[in-house]
Amino acid sequence: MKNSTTSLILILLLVAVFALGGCGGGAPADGKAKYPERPIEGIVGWGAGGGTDVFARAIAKPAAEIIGQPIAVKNMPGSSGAIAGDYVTQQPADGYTLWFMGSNYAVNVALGRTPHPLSDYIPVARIQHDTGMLQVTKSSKFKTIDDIVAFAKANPGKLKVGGTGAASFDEVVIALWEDAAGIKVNYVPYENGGQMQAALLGGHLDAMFEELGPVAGRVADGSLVPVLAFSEKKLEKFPNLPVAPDKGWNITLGNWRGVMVKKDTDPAIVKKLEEVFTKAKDTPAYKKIEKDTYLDLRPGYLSGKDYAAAIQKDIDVYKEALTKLGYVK
Amino acid sequence: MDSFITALLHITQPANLIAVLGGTLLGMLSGATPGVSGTMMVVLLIPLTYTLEPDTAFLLLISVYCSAVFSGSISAILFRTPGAPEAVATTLDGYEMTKQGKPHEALGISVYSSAVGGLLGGAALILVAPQLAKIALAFGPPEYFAMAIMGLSVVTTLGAKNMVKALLVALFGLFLATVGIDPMAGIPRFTFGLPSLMSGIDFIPVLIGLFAISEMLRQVMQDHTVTIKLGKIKTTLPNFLMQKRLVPTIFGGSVLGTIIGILPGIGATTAAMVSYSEAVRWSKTPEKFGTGHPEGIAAPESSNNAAANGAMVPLLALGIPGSATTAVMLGAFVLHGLKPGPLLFTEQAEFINTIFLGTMIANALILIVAPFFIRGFANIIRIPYPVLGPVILILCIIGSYAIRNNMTDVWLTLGFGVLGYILEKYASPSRPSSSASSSEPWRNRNSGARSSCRKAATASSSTAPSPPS
Repeated sequence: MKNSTTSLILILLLVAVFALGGCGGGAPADGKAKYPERPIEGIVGWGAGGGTDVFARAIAKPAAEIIGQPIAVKNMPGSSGAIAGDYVTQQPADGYTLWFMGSNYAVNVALGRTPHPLSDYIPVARIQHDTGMLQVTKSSKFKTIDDIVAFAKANPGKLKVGGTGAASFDEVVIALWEDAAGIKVNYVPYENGGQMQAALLGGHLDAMFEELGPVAGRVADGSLVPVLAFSEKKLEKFPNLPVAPDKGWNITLGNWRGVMVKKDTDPAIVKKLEEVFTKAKDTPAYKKIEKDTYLDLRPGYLSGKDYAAAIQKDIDVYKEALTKLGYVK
Repeated sequence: MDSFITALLHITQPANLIAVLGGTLLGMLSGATPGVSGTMMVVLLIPLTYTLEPDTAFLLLISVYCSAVFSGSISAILFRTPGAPEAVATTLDGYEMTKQGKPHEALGISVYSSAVGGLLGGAALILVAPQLAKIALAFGPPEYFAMAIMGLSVVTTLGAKNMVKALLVALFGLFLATVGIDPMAGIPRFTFGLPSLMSGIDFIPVLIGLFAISEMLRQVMQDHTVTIKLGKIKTTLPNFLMQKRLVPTIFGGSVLGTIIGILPGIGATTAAMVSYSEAVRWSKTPEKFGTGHPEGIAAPESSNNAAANGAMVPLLALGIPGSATTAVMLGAFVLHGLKPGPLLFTEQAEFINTIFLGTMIANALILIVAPFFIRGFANIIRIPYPVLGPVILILCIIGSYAIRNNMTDVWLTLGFGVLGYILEKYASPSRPSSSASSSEPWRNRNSGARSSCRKAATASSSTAPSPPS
């Protein structure tokens, strides 16, 4: 009897200790006002050195200065970012885990390759809206987009157009373009942009779908020539470059990148993050990187609310296109 | 020439010298530790380089890169556990020499071959980078496909004793490479609905499992009361006779390595494998390979360092990364506001020349720093295995987690460890063939040759009906 009483007391003590410990770790009542009180983790669903990684590191640096806590960028590559997206939903909804993500999330939702619909997250802000282009080499027999379309019309399925990934954003854009222009091309998917660029420069492809940033050096020296931009308006920096609407094709989809957090995150924290990233995108350091990589061709910023609507809209567009391509049953 | 002299002045600034020396040491440490690769170290250092001048930043990263490629051989030779993928081929003869009580010689050959290979590759980088880059672009899908077949032929060298078993394991390796979303058709294969398998099985967990974990399991089964007396581990650089003997091997390895490194799809690991199998093919005494033959260390080690420098060629001249580490560096270039490409050579000649000099110095430093580093690092071999084994296991687990911050990779590593142990124990020629198999997923996935096989098919079919698109 005595023994059992002792053990009972001991167990109660242990429980009390754990309970106290739990309290100690918890935030005080006015905790939100203090956010952030420790370093923040920024998740990237791609390897170091890629477009999303560069975006995350470029924006995280000024954002960390503004928010007053370090933002550590962590790469969790795999499954077009779906693994990272899953990880974010498994973390507490406390604003200490940010997801630096992009269009691939919408593609994953459209393909059913992520268990997490948009309602599992709260979009904080969109920062970039890249401009996709069809590009050829300087020595290509195609000088203009009309040359390309004329060839593709005369030789269905012969024009080799490179893109990154199968059942990907790139393939969706090319498929929409094929539909709009009434042509059929041979879409060749590559595992990364580097391989595709090497193939185009080596003459193994006729054209490629690529943004300007990754090939800025070679567009500047003239070895690569953009022939069409998928953008609403003419680009200030390339006044002579035709845009898709000029040709009557209403395709202005671009790769976008932004920040999301897990659903149920305190609205005050989401608001604070939105303010921080809105400021961070205007810092000279970040502006310079945007300019260097031609990410300033069209405005990218959207508030959290508008971003959510934009993501949903793209999910629907991708779903329709991918169903047509036979990827979504 | 002017810019070359300015570059020379640049690099002799204390900050830059410290960057090169510190980078070399950090690279050696990361390369020599199983599970921690040079690429990982570069990723860890990138945030640190924000605050540095671009030339200092890249001298640091490049020194890490060059020395990590070499130092994978240290643990390959001493522990039969390649510290980095590039050193897989070095285990074959390196560890045999250690077993014969000649680790100092094996290490010396590795140091010497790596430095010479690196310097030759660096010279190629400096002299003909833009021209070479253009030639490399002519390599299309058929050529990459041929390269993959050539790499696969290493199986015939490694599995000579039992070809059927070797080929079976190689086929298993090819099967592993098919896991994941098909890069051409976009359809998930053998993923069992697991999201983590969508992007396939990474090469590193396979490598760590088959080599490090299985070796640990094997060691655990052994009686450790009597261990080989190794004495103080030193590095004996090859004497003149040996140097003379290795000239053709190192030269061949370096040339092959440089060429393979420059090709934008494949890098140092393939270079080491192909160079090893070519060395066997050209040797008058091919039967000696795998028994502690110095050429068996010189060939892969000269080749992988040459390839590391070769991989810088497409990065700098075209802005196209030729390997995992150079892909990370490309991102660092962008963050520092530099645009790799032909214009870099004319507009930033000073920066380019500083980088060139840096690679030469980093490779030369291997000769000077490595003997000291090895003396310290090799003390590890004196730690009793019951202590050392678990430490290696922990490092392997951390390492396989850190590649993608993903637990699935850890389970895969452990699974392949058990598989490697069983293969070795019951399927006699498993070691050579498992090395072949482990190189396959890599060659086929990370190097892009996997897709080139398909791309070869697409390229040939592009004149015929088009693939589903």
